[in-house]
Amino acid sequence: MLGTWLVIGVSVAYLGVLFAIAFYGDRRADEGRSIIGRGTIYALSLAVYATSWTYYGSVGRAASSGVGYLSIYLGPTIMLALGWLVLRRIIHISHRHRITSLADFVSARYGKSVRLGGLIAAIAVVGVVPYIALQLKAVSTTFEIIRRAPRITQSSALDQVPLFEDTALYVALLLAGFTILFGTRHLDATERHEGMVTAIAFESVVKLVAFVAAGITVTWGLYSGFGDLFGQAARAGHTSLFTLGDSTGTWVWLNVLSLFAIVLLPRQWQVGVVENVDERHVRQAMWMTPLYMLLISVFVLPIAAAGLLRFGSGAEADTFVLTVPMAAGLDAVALLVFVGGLSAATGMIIVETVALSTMVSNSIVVPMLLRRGYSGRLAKLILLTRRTSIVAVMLLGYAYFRLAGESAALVSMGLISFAAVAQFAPAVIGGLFWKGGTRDGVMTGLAGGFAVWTYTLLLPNFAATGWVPRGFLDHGPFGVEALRPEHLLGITGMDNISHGMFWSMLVNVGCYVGVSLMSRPQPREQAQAVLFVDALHDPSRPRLWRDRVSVQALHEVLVRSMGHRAAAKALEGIDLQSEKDADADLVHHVETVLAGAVGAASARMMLTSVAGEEQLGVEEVMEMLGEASQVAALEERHRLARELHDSVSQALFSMTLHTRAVELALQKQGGDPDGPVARGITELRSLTQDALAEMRASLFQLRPDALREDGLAEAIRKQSAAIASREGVVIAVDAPGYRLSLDDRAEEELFRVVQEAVHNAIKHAGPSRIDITLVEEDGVTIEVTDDGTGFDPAAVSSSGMGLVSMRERMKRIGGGLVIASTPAGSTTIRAVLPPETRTAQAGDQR
Amino acid sequence: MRRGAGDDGRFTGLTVLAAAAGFVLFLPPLLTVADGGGTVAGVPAVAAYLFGAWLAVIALVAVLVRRSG
Repeated sequence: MLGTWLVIGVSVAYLGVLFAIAFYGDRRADEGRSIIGRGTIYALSLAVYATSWTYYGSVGRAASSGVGYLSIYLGPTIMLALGWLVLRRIIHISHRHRITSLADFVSARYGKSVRLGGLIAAIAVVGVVPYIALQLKAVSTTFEIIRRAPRITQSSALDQVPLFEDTALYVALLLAGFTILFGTRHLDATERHEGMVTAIAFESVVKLVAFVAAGITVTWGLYSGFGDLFGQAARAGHTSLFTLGDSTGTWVWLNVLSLFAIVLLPRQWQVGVVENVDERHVRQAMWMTPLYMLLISVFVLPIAAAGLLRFGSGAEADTFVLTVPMAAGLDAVALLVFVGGLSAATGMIIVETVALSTMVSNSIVVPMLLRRGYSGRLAKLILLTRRTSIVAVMLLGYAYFRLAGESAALVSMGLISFAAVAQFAPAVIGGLFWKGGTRDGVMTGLAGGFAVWTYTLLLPNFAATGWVPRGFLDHGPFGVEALRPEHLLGITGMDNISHGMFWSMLVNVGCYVGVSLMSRPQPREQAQAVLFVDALHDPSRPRLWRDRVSVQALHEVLVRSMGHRAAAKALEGIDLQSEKDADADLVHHVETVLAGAVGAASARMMLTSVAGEEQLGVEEVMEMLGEASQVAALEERHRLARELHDSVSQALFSMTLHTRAVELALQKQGGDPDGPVARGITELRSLTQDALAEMRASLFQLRPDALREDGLAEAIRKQSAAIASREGVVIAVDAPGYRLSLDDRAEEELFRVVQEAVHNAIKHAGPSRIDITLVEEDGVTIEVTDDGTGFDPAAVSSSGMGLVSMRERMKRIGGGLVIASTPAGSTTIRAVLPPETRTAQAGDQR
Repeated sequence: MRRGAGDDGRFTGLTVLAAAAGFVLFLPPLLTVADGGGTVAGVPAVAAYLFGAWLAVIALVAVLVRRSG
C-alpha cells in the first residue's frame, strides 16, 4: 500500500536531495575544487536528453510500433559520433566568444544580428514550452496513478485535478525556485552553473537505475527472461512488438530529427555547450552517452510486452512502466519508477528553463532595453529578467498543460518540439562549415521554415486539441484541398512529422542557401564567418577597428552591465582610471566579456555607443575570405620573407660590396674613370644597390600589417625577438603594455628608426646586448643602446650608417634624433617625439 | 604541434567514418534485412539487430577515443 502522503514525502525528499547536491556542487565550484571536471559527469548531464516523455513514452511507442522508438536514440548516437567534428567545434567557438545560448551563437555567427537572435529565442520558446507542459503532465498523471495503488487507474479515466491539488503546480513552483537558486545565482560571464550540472548528472543516474531495476524485475521476476516474455507475447498475437512499426520513411525522418535534437534542443545546448568545462570531455560523451541511451532502452520492449500481456492491447501503454510493477504488487519498484520519472521530468524542466531564460533575457529583453536607450545599471535588471522569465516559462508550460493536458494531442508535442528546433540546423551547421551563409539567408530560411512548421505541425495539433476547427484540417483553409496542413499539394502516405519536416526543411534550406548566394553580406558578417568557420585553425583576429575609447569608459560599460566585482575581475591588472586609449585587444576583450553577460548582439550595441561602429575595409574582407587558412598563409609569407632575406638579400649585399671594391681597384690601377669599363661598373653598382633596396621593400611588404596590427611596442618586441635569435644577440625591450596613442605615420617612422638603429648596431658595433627603452611621458622617447664599440658621431660620414635617413624620418614627424657615442664605449641613439607634435599630427590626420 | 594537429584530423576522420557506419547500419536498406518479424534467440530479430549494430558503433567510437589518448 502506498499512501498519498508517502508518495508526497518521497517526492519532497527526492527534491530535497537534489537541492543538497546542487548546493554542494556550487560550493565545491566556489572553493575551486570543481567536481564537474570529469568527462563522466559531462556525459551523464547530456543524458538530460532522456525526459519523462521518453521514460514513459518509449514503452507506449514500443507497444504500438515495436522498436520504432529506438530512432529517438539512434540519431543522437550518430550525432555524438560526429561530436569531435561538430559539437567540439561549437564549444570551441562558444568558449572563445563567450556565447551563452543557441540564439546568441546564431546571432553572433551572422554579424551579431539582434533581430536574428530574437527570432531564434521566439522559435525556441514557442517550440519548447509545450514540451515542458508534457513533462508536467507526466508528473501529474503518474502521481495520480501511483497514489491510487494498488488500484490501476487508466490515465484517461483521471479527471482534471483541481488546481490546488495538482502536483504539477507544486512541482512547477518548486522547480522554479530551484532554477532561480542554482540557474541564476549570479551574473557570470560564462553562464556556468556547476551545482545544477551536478544535480542533472545525479538525476540521469537515478532515472537509469530506476528504469533498469523495473526492467530486470519485470523480465526475470515476473517472467523467466527475454525468451519466455517474447514467446508468450508472440503466442498472444502481439506481433507489433516484432517489427519496426513505422514505415521506413518515418524511421529515417525520426532518426534525422533526433540527430539534430541532441545538439539543438535548448537544454542540450545548455549542458552540451554552455556548461562544458573542457572540450576533451566531448570525447567521453561520444561513446558514454550513447551507451547510457542503450542501457535505458534495453528493457523498453520487454516492459511493453509484459504490459500488453497483462492489460491487453487496449490499455494505455504510456504508463506500463509504472502499472506493470503495481499490478504485480511490487510497490517499492513502482515507487522507484515514479521517482525515476520525476527525475527525468525535473531534469528536463530545470535545464530547459535556464536555457530559455538566458535566450529571452539576452536576445529579446536586453536588446529591446538598449534600443530604447536605457542607460541605467543593467546588471540587476538582467538578473531580474532571467528570474522573471524562468517563472514565466514555467507557468506558461503549466498553463499549456492545464489547457491541453486532457487531449492526447499533448503527447505528440514531443516530436513536434524536435521538429521546431531542427529548424535551427541549417543556420548552425551551415554556419559552422560554410562561409557564404548570410544573415538575410538565415532570416528568410528560419522564418520560412518556422512558418511551415506552424502550419503543418502546430496548427493540426491545435486542431486535435480543439483550438482550431477540424474542418480546417480535413478540407483545407477555405475548402482548398491542396492546402490541407497535413497533406500539402495533396501528398498522402506520409505521417505528419515526415510531411512537416520535408516541407519545412525544403523551405528552410532552400531559402538559406538561395538568399545567401544572392545577397551581399556586410563586412561584419564576413568577419564573423571567418572566425566561426576557421575557428580550429586559430584565425588571427580580423582587423576590426573602432574609434578610440578610453580604458575608463570601457570600465564604466562593464560596471553598468555586470556590476563592480565582475568588471574588476574582467579588467584585472589594468589601470582603471587611465584616460589612455585602450588598444584594440582590450576593446575586443571587453566586448567578449560583455557578450558573456548580455549576449553578442547587445555587447556590440553597447560598445558601438561608446566606441563607434566597427570598421573593416572591403579589400581586407576579400583577402580574409580568399585565404583558406590565414595562419598558414601568414606563416608561409614569413618563411618566404626569411629565406629571401637570408639568400637573395645577402647575395645582393655582397654584390654591392664587391662591385664597389672592383670600382676602387680600377681607380687605383689608374683606369680611365670615364672609360667604358669604369662606367659599366658604376652602372652595375647602382643597379645592384637599387635591387637591394627593392628587395628590402618587398620583404617588408610580405608582412605589411605587423605594425598596424600589433602597435609600435609589440611590433618592436616581435622584430627584436626575431633579430635576436637570428644574430645571437641579447635584445631587451622595455616598453609599456598598452598601445601608444600614435597615428599610423608616426608609428611607421619610429619603427623604422628603431629597426635601422638595431641594424646599425649589429652591423658595425658587434654588441652582445642591445637595450631598447620606450617611454611615453611628455611625448614619446625611444632609446636604443648597445654595448659594442662606439664611434665619433662628428667624424662619421653621413651616408655610412643611415644616420641621415634616421634624422630625416624623425624630422618628418616633428621629432628629433640624439646620438651619444664615443669610440671607446657604447652607443645610445635617442629618438624623441614631443607631445605637441603628436597632437598636431593627430589633428592633421583627422 | 604539427603532429598533434595531424592526429586530431585523423581522429576526426575516423569518428566521422564511425558515424557513417552507424548511418548505414541503422537505416534502410540494411535495416530491412532484419525487419521480417522473426526472432533470434527468443528476441525479436529487428531488435537484436539494432541493439547489436548500436553496440558495435558505440564500441568502435570508444576504441577510437581510447586509442587517440
